[in-house]
Amino acid sequence: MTLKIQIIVIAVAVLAIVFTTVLIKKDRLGLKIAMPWLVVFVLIIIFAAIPALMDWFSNLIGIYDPVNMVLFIAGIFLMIIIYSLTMSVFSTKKKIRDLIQKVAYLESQIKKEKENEVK
Amino acid sequence: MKKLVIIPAFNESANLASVIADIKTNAPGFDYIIINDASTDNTKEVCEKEGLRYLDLASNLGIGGAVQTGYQYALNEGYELAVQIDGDGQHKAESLVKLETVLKAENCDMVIGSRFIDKKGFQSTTLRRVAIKWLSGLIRVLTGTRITDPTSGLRLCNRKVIAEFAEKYPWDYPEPESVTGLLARGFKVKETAVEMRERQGGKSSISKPLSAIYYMVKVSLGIMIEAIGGRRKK
Repeated sequence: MTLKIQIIVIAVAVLAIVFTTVLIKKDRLGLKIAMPWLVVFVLIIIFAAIPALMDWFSNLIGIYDPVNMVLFIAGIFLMIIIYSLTMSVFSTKKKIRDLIQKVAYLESQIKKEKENEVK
Repeated sequence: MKKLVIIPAFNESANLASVIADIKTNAPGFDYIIINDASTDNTKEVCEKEGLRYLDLASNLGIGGAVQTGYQYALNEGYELAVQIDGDGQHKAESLVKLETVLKAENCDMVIGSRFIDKKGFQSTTLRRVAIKWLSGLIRVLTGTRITDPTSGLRLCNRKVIAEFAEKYPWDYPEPESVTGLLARGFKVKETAVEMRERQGGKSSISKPLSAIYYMVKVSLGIMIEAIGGRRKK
């Protein structure tokens, strides 16, 4: 890793953290849902700052090339995040369905009450 | 005894009035509720103008969510029997009386109106019959019960099943999956022969080849998942 790319990577990751923090502050992102990303950004900064750590770690889990390790871990991480998104999309869908059903029923009850009042 | 007919309606303004008239003449003991699934035609206006009883969904939920809304209504309003029929006029109201008789005589939880017992009336296309045979065979292997017409949308059920469906019901193409779920949980399901008409208007939702493949894969998987952990009848 050259010093140049180290600085670029760290700068981008820091920017990403700042961006995420601002969004959370403005209530356009929740801390809970953004936390996995914050962890990723911090890890990127650590590994970019101390490249030796990457060699040590890839050795530890038995991958020859640190670049392969980065791709491998990135792939797994993305899968976990996307899978949890799929789950939360479904739970959101379900909540919306429940609301639509409830509103339809309440609307009909209100209508009935009104008709009874008129009589 | 309070009895409810659940009529899911998506763009059925042309058929609704005749479906309701059919119920009033040929199944007079039944109340009805139309579920307007965010129709884009004037289904809602027709309901208002004719003074029909309906629930209005704010957004389109699809057939599963619409029918489930009907079961929740039946549960809340204290109905003891509920039957779902299609809004397109395929089902005859006289069948409802027959379903009720069978449910009481056989003392079961659900009765399905089947086209394939007497093989009278509209029988669907060959390809569809093959697909239905496959689903029927799958249900038989997994649950031990023979259901000749698992895709039938004409089904009468008691209060126990109403409560089940109000709580959990598949989203799309719900019929075969929900029957399997009932069988796996030990409910008693029977069939009786009915005649159906060819659909009066509108188009089937599974006429394109791709959606037919999606339908078969989704429904087969749904049946298998529902059957997991169930008791198989010997």
